[in-house]
Amino acid sequence: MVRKTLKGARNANLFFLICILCIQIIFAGRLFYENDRLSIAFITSISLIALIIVGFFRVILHHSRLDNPIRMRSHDGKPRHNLHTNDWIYALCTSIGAITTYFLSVNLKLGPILGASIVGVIASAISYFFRSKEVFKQLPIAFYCGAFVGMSAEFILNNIVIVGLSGFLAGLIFIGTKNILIGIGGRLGTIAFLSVCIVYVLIKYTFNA
Amino acid sequence: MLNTLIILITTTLGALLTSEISNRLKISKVATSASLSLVFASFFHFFPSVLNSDLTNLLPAAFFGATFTGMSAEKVIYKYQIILAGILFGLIFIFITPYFSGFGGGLGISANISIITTLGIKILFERIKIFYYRQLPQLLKNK
Repeated sequence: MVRKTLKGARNANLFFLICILCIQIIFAGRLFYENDRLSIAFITSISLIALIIVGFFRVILHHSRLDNPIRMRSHDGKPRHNLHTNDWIYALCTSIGAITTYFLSVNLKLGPILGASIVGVIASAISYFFRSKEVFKQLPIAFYCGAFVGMSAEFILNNIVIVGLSGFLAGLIFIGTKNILIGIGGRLGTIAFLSVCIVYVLIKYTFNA
Repeated sequence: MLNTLIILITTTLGALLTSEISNRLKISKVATSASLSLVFASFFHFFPSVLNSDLTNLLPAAFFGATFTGMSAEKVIYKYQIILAGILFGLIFIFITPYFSGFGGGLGISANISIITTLGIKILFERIKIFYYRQLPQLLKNK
């Protein structure tokens, strides 16, 4: 049986992998700007970045499906594209999770961690009761990803509508990164960090809000 | 110093607990992570005077982030590598995450970096082992 590789899916997966690698290098290299050269922080940053790059080879080779997108059952035998028809639900759920967590943490003053964990518990409970359906298996993951976006402080994202939009962006990135970083924890947080960074930079430097 | 030690112990515990509970009891990873951190955070929310104020703010966040480290699949990281990943996450949480406070996914990206760094250390050790075993016949001949 010949397997067709989908070039668009492979390129999209590689693009997201490179984005994630870049944001992790930026995160780990933050210590460069604060301290002198040849100090412990400088050496730590460099070794962390080197190990991240080395570790990414294992990520790309073993923990990603670059050429083989998730195959849903197709009636005609042809391979499905990277996207599925139910994926828009996940994007909606991340924005709902983000708005709920932001409401719990800022408006009800519970703090970000309590807010995110409450949203996670409720989402898991809801999906447990409907566990027979296919869509509800990935749903708590999408809600949790949105919860991380909603954990942002008020001085980063000050409006709940902006939080919802950034949650929606996180949902889109979540759909795009379905096939990479499989089984590696913290993927949801990386997606949330990426979307919050993009929205923060957009707001701060373009709209001057 | 004591604060650092307590945070490192918390992160290691969080990573280990999450991975063991979700793998042994076959509970979904999101449910274990969320419920464990809910219990931990609510304890410090209702009893804030048990520890000093720095730890009361930092420990729930450290535990929450460590649960993301434990959310990795069992095939990716084994039990003893999770301990290293938890310690690494604790160090990253103490030194790098404060610069990104207020950003939503700061804990998650720290957890991701700690796991990928552990994978990188694993690759390095494997390469060193392969290099050593290739040199071993020559070393034995020279003796």
